Amino acid sequence: MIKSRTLWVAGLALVIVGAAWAAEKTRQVQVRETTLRDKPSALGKVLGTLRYGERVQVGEGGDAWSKVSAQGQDGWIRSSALTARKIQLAAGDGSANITASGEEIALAGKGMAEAETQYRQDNAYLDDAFAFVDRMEKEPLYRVSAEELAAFLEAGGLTPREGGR
Amino acid sequence: MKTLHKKYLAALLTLAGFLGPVHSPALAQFDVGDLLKRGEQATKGLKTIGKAAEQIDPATEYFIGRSAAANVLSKYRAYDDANANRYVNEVGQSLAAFSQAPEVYSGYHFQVLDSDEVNAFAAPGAFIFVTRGMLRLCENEDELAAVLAHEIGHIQNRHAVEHIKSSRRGDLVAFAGKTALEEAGPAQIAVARDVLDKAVDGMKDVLFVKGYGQGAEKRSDADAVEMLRTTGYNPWAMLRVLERMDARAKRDKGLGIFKTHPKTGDRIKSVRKELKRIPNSPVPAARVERFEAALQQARAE
Repeated sequence: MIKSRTLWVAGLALVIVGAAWAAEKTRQVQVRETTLRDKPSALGKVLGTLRYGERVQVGEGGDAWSKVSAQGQDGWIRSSALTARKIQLAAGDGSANITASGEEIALAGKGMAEAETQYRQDNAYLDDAFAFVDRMEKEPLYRVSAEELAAFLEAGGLTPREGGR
Repeated sequence: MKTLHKKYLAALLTLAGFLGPVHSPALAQFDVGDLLKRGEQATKGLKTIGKAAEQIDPATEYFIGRSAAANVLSKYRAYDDANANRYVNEVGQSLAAFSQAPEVYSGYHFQVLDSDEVNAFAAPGAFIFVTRGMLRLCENEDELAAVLAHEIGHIQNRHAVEHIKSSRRGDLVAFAGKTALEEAGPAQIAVARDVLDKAVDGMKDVLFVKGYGQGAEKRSDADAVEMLRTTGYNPWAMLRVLERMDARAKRDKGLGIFKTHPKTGDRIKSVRKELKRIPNSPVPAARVERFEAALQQARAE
């Protein structure tokens, strides 16, 4: 028979574990690249760039923005850039401080990258088109930096209303 | 065991069931609650779109989007004008930053297509295309913004994934829900290839033939009005564009966007309702001038 005291101790242990879990949630980045900002705003100062699979500790999770600790500093990340699901990178364990340095990090081994390769082999007429899609992803023409965005908005007399949703 | 002790044990085990998986990363993919939810959804054929969309990770959507984008680019020539493309990206990225889906896997990329057809396409990932014919239909930056915001609306509502037939969508959800721990073997790649083939077939049908359906179009229109307002554009530009499209619809019946988005009149009615409490105002000269300057070549006949 289990003594009441044992049960209470076990219960207390679980509460402590639960509190620890609730206080610090680990999340991983589920997009190729995202920014850490100094406030919950698309126009906030960029403190750092995080890459796919990188881990953060969430202090305060909101619908649109989460307050996190990442890369040794505190800041804000879009909640939609984070996932509670585990992302395992193909090149070994996804440890906390991943830097891409320009190289593509292989996606978790679900097979989609390989599937695309096969699809392209079976549809050679799409070769040029896929090459163009690659260009769209890589060329600076298609990238608008935070500074360029702010300048573009200002020059156009655009004053965004951010709701903090 | 006494009844009271049984209840304690049950409570503790339930608590452990919730806390254990989250606290122990190795067990995370065996989150029982999540598995039950997914199993339930698979058997019930995915009732609500929202729940289904949440199950599909950005990386999976991205690969589907790349192949869909490649199919767009094999059907339409890319328009090679750095000024036009740069400008369209500046407008589009501004909207995306203030949309409900600013963080898609690869970010947003916009491209002008060299076609007189009035059309625009959105593929997850995200890749958004707009034809020269559509650029000519617009008179200022706010109207271009309305067109792009509508396309971003399709992305943020995940209409592409939602549109894949429900039986196939179950496969997609099951696939996307998997958390791989090792490199994909041949069997897993075959599953991925099947998912990709079905998804791309679905996307081609939507983009070139059937469209997303009136409900999805009106949802994107409503989201576009909101996105225009949040970014600082005049939301009435959405109505202006629809009215222009309506005027063109008879002439261009069954072509381009009029094939996939036939009921413009109905969309106009709905957008008017969305605009009821929103004030109208003229588009500032700066947003007419830079529109005309950047798109001078693109809009030339």
